[in-house]
Amino acid sequence: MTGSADIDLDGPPAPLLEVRDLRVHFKTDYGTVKAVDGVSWSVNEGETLAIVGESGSGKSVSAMTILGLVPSPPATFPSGDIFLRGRSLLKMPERQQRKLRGSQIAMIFQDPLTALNPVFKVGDQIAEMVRTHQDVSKHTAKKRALDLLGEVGIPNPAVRINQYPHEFSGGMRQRAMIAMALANDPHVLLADEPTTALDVTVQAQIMALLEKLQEDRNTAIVLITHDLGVVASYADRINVMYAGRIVESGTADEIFYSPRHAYTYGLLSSLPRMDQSRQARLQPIKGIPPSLARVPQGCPFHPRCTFATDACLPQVPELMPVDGAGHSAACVHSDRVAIAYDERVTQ
Amino acid sequence: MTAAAPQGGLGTADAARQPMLEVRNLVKHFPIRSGVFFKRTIGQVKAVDGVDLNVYRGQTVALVGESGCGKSTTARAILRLLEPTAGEVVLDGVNVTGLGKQDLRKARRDMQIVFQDPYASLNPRMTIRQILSEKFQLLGQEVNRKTISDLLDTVGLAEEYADRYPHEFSGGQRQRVGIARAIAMNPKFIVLDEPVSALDVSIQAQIVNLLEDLQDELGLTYLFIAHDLSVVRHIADRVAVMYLGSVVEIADRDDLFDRPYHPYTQALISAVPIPDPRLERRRERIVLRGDVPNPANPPSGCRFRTRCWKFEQLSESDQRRCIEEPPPLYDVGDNPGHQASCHFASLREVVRA
Amino acid sequence: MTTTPDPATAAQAVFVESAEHAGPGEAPEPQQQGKQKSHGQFADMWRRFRRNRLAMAGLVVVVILIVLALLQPVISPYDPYDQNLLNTLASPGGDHLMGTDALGRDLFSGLLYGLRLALLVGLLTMLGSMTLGVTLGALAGYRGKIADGLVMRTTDIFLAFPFLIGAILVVRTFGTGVFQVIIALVILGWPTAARLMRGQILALRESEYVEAARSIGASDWRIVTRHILPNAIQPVFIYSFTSIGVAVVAMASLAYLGVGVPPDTPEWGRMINMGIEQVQVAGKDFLWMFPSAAICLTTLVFAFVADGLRDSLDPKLR
Ligand SMILES: Nc1ncnc2c1ncn2[C@@H]1O[C@H](COP(=O)(O)OP(=O)(O)O)[C@@H](O)[C@H]1O
Ligand SMILES: Nc1ncnc2c1ncn2[C@@H]1O[C@H](COP(=O)(O)OP(=O)(O)O)[C@@H](O)[C@H]1O
Ligand code: SF4
Ligand SMILES: [Mg+2]
Ligand SMILES: [Mg+2]
Repeated sequence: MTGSADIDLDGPPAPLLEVRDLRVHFKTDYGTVKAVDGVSWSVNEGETLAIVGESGSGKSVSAMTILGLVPSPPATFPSGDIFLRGRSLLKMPERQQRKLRGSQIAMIFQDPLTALNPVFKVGDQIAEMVRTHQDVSKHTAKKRALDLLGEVGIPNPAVRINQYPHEFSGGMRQRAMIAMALANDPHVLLADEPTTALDVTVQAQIMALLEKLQEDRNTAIVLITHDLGVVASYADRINVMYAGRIVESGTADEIFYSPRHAYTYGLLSSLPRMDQSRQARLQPIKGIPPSLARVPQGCPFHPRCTFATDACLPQVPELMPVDGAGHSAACVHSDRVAIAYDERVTQ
Repeated sequence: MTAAAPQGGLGTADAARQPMLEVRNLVKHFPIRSGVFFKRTIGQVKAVDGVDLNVYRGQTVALVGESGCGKSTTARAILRLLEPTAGEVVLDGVNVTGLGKQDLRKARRDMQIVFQDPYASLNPRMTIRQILSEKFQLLGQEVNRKTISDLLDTVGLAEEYADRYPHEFSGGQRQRVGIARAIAMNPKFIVLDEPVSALDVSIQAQIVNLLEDLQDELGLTYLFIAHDLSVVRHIADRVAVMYLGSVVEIADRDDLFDRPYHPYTQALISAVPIPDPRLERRRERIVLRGDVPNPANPPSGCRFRTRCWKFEQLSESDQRRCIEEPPPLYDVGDNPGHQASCHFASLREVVRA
Repeated sequence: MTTTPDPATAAQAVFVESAEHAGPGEAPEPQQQGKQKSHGQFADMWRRFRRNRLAMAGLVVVVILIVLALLQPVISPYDPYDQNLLNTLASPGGDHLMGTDALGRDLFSGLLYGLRLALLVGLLTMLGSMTLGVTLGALAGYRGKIADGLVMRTTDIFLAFPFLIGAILVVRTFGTGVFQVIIALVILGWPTAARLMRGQILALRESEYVEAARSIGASDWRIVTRHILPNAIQPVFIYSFTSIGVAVVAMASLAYLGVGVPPDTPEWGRMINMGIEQVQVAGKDFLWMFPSAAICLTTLVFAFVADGLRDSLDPKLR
């Protein structure tokens, strides 16, 4: 593995990437949009951390902030720090930040067309990416681009390298973008809805590719998605986001088999399942997600919550450990949620 | 292209009944044109290439498949929002394909559509009231305040919404407006073209429930188009799987999910992740090679053969059969009405294995 | 163009979705001023327009300019054509607010007259090219086939001409005069409007809400007039508004080159031309500076207003 190994020799090794108390707010005409409001998580080598939530819950903004892609203004960052192997990214000089972002942390977007420039050949774009972070000749970079295209499973890489993005199908474009993200052997891959725009059969191809790459390179993957099926099959640990906050965090089994937050419970109950013959009526969550400019007082989920009582109103519930070492939920009634879920399952 | 007589029904009990909707050998080709001044046709996109379907009264038939396989085109050709290239559509005894302009407009009362994109399917410059009233006016029926408020109530919207513009609504609410427009004046048959695909998970369930309730209350017949197989398993009575313009497998719901016969259906189902981590760790995924071929130039013989996992395992002479001979819809399985268009169709469990 | 009601981009969709509160069955939170009923479309547009400060400033200046132009016959201190060979090249101040030119004509009166001309030409050019462009563009877009081929190839030919050369050719053909200039500018301006219009129509014709209209039995005529035109025309309208400035500059350029208006007309381009002749004379730069500033100001304020219009016509902006 290349790159600087800045391992803290004293104490427990720092996580590969850690986000601490991140807040990202946007000043808009209709108020301050608290897109991300006190989010903390970390991810280690070879691990897949999923961030799951409905659209507008702040998933993308939190990921883009890590890469410094959120324009300020309108964004402000009232608090938060980002650590790469224990070193604060934000306290580094600008130049070094830029170097680490993109080489050690890379991002895959939902829409490859936003990441690929339509007027340049795919191969040249990947080579360019190699050359911004590594001191190599044009020829070497091009050679590397060719290898990468082969590695992500693009047939005929020697031909494809000289084609433009529009000559690629949706799945191929996504592969090309993954190749670009891998150009500098990143340690962390932020994948923002990498398969949302794709068909399930292509999704299976892309996810299989990501799994293989992770195995080969021991990369950490932060998988952002709204699809609970994808999360169940690929995530080791899961953060559930609602209205700019993490409301529940735990292993995949903890989240799916013993949810402790009413929102997680609601999501799981509302899902139709392909492996079950006609279920009874679906149990939707009532209402719609709140505007992040006017998040409800107290628990932001309470207006939609079937468990809510007056106890949910005075303050925002903190993420508190529930059972299990790493399992935590920000729900006043996590015990009642647990009981309700068990009853539902045994039914 | 179908050899076996296309069977529709939901088992034998329905076989005697007349279907609400009958689609016979529906074809829709789009000419590919080129030229500067006057365009010449240089090819055909074979978007829909011989589809047969029966939908019985009060039933929901789902049409599933990957994007570009021709689902929306099939739906639009059925409703004659696109003129079919060939084929016949009969709705409750009326031959829709044969109707003249005036009669077609009258027939629109009976057949309606809900679109996928709640942001694009409502005119941004009309209020909800104007959008809903337009249908009554065009199809010649009195409309008053109460008509609209009742209609909104049916789809779970309050009347004070009526004088707002679409942009003031969330996606789920707009989709309710789209549904209200479709169910107004009691149509017999409704196409739902991916009605929940653009919505958030928690909202999807609200809309699915609404659609089910309306079907019960009004006795509606649905053609439900989707690529999300989980929703299909929940809502459909019967499922048709499309690939590159044709139906490759059709069966009653549980038959299709629990006992799929076509290699494509099997791959499609196996690719859908199920929100159950332990089950997912056990499941084996069939990962298909490559991309869907260009519908302007589909493969010879079986259209799926370029990506078929079973094809790879066949002997050379069997492979030649796939290459040369288009497979008809064979009867498969133990239950009537289950057909798959594969020369080597065989059962493979994919949901739980 | 920003106002196509095509599928909103994901980002916009998220934005709209999350900017609301209400669940089904409850009214969405009143968005502005707590009104219960929907505020009319024009109120909405005005609100969005007002938020654009530059546009508001532009609008104020535009109104002032229009009033000045209308009142020109009344407020003009001198007849702009009146020569006074005894008082040529007078500096600004005193009897002549902005001085006099080489023929002793009052510069301020000339500018006012030029303003009247500029606005007349700008507005009529806009109206003319928009009418022609919208009609032909709509025809091309909705009818397709032969009409489309003819209209589009014609626009190709017109757009291939460099603007000024085209304008000079046309004016040469039709002869000198303000209306000849307008005709030239309309002839050269409509193709862009037509292309925009055609593009809009093509996009909207395939849109889901047009299909929805067809699905409830709307006739072609109704679809065009009720569903397509009102949505298609807006980008064209905005473009046309921007083109007012272009027309003003174009007329001035023609006049500067001695084409178009008669040579003795108090027109801004002519005035600049005559001013430039005096550049060697020290302290007489005001002769070309005042009319240049007038052209800049006019073009800018119309551009600002066009920008505000763009905002105000976009229902996706709140
Ligand atoms: N540039 C911006 N200005 C204002 N608000 C923004 C901006 N970018 C994102 N937001 C808001 O931040 C919230 C979170 O957005 P996002 O992270 O994209 O959600 P997700 O990825 O979970 O769907 C949304 O309410 C969105 O409207
Ligand atoms: N108006 C059209 N002109 C040309 N080709 C079209 C048109 N509409 C659809 N197609 C093509 O027909 C095929 C089927 O499209 P569609 O029915 O929209 O698929 P689906 O709804 O299954 O995603 C696609 O290859 C698409 O590109
Ligand atoms: S006919 Fe042949 S190629 Fe087609 S699905 Fe069956 S095995 Fe595969
Ligand atoms: Mg996002
Ligand atoms: Mg479709």
